[in-house]
Amino acid sequence: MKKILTLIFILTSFASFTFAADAELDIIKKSNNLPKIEIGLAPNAMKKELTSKVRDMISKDLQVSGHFEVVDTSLIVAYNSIPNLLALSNKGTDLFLNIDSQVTGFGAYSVMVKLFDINSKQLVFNRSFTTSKEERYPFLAHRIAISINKHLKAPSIDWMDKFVIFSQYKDAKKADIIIADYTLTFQQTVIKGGLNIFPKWADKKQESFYYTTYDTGIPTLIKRNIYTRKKETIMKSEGMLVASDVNDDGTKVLITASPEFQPDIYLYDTKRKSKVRLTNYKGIDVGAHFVENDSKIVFVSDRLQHPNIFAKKIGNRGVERLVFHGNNNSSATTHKDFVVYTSRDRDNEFGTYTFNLYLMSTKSDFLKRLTSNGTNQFPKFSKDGESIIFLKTLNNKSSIGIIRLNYSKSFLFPLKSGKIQSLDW
Amino acid sequence: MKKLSIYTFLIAAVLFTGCSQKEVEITSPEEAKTSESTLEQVAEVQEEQVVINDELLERAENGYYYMINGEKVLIENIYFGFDKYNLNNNMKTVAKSNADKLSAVQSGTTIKVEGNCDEWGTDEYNYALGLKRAKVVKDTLVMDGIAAQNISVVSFGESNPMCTDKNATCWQKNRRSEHKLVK
Repeated sequence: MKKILTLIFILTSFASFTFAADAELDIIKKSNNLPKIEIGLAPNAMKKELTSKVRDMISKDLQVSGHFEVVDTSLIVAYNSIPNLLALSNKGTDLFLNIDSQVTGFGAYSVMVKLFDINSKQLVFNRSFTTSKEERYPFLAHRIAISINKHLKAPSIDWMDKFVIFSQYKDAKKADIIIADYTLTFQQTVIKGGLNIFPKWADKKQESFYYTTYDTGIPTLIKRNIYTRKKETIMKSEGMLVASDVNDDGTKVLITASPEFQPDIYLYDTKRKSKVRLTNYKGIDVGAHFVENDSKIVFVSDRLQHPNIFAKKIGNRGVERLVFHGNNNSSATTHKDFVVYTSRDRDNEFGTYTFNLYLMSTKSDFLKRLTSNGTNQFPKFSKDGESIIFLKTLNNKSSIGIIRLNYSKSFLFPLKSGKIQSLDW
Repeated sequence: MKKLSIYTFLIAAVLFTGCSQKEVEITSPEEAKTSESTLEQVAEVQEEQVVINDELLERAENGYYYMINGEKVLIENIYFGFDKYNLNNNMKTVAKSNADKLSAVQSGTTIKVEGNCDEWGTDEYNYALGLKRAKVVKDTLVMDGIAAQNISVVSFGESNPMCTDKNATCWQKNRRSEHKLVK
């Protein structure tokens, strides 16, 4: 009897742990349908307009995650009250998120959230998030979405908290470098004055970045620390100079330079501070990115009379053509064995061009078109390889696009005016 | 025994349904480092110092006027086809005429050839196209007698447009190499 009781005790302890975990997992994996979530704004929230923007951003983040179906709500629930669980249950809603806000005595802005699981009739998440500057609200929203997603044990969406860095033209021969959230709603200038282009994160922690400046009249590659503003001149190159790609541990950089006034690809070793030339063709070779564990590069070349995508094993002479459709393919970005590039598909009758994004593998015949209209440019993989950020222009309106590769879904965020020169994630 | 284990598990599962969870904390300590906390430490931006040492007398629709050897001369831009960096016959004539005028430039003055593109094309390729356009003009000047060490090249890609209209005429105006004199 004692043995059976002990066994029951052990089993029930184990069961309680696994069941609690499984209950949360069930919310995400429930019978092929995404859990439905409604997001409400508490009636007494301070800074209503701002908090409404936070609510909208959280809503978008949860949709972009691919793990939730966000449904409209007409429910207004006081923050200290419980929502009408029966009404929500009858609608088929699985989760209700209530948002409140306040301004602290020190002038900081706090957002409080309560998440109710309608099926189990419980409050499952209750937390407060604060920022000292209201303009940073997009990051507040992203942190809330990430935390909720994490609490429900859905696949990570930590990438939403990463900075995007981009260069924006201000005037002729003038471009500033700006860091932003992934929707480009929050923006903060980090390099101002003169022509500063092709910013590229130097490390995973996003503490430093490379960029090209024309401050002295000669293209110069700089590495800059965003905290200390410490500036390191990597090299100069009359003609053009770009840091195209950085490997995972930041020790190697693929650079396009022109020491002989000829655009070619170089591999730069950050520790030895030395560079090795990788291409010799007399035309254009640019935009190299690491693939297959840094053993190969994928790059853009006009060696077949028009821009196309090629691959080359580092240290070998041979060059392999990767793309066999279209006559203008460029702007390749890579993750492991995958490449996303921009292809000019066709002229339409108005004499303008459409540029679409394509995803391919360097190790198989896999090829998939990712966009279908407008001008789609500057694709960049997220660090985890699950998302692509890009710029879309359609009917003279520009947006930042996010493609969630595993969910075959694409989302757009309207862009403030200004012409983007290049961006990195 | 196995049946008992499964049965026990099911009983436990049923018993634990609807069990209230531990009260969740209202305010949790923030995770280690977030982008928002990072922003507190990002240094304030300062305007970069820019050196501009171009000298020009007057800007024309299709080039720049300079005083060379006491004379006001027009050094004309060289224009290129879409996606191209070769000189057509017309442009070869213009380049030759430029070379004749530039041969009188004082020693110590550098002729800077700036290559430009229209707004089409993407990032690095555009800057490379601009460089090829600058280089082909330099090569032509060298062939016509200008010393190579007196000519520098630089690409501005699509960053320096003459016009911003969305039409073929404007795009053509932007696909050009310009000449600057630098002491």
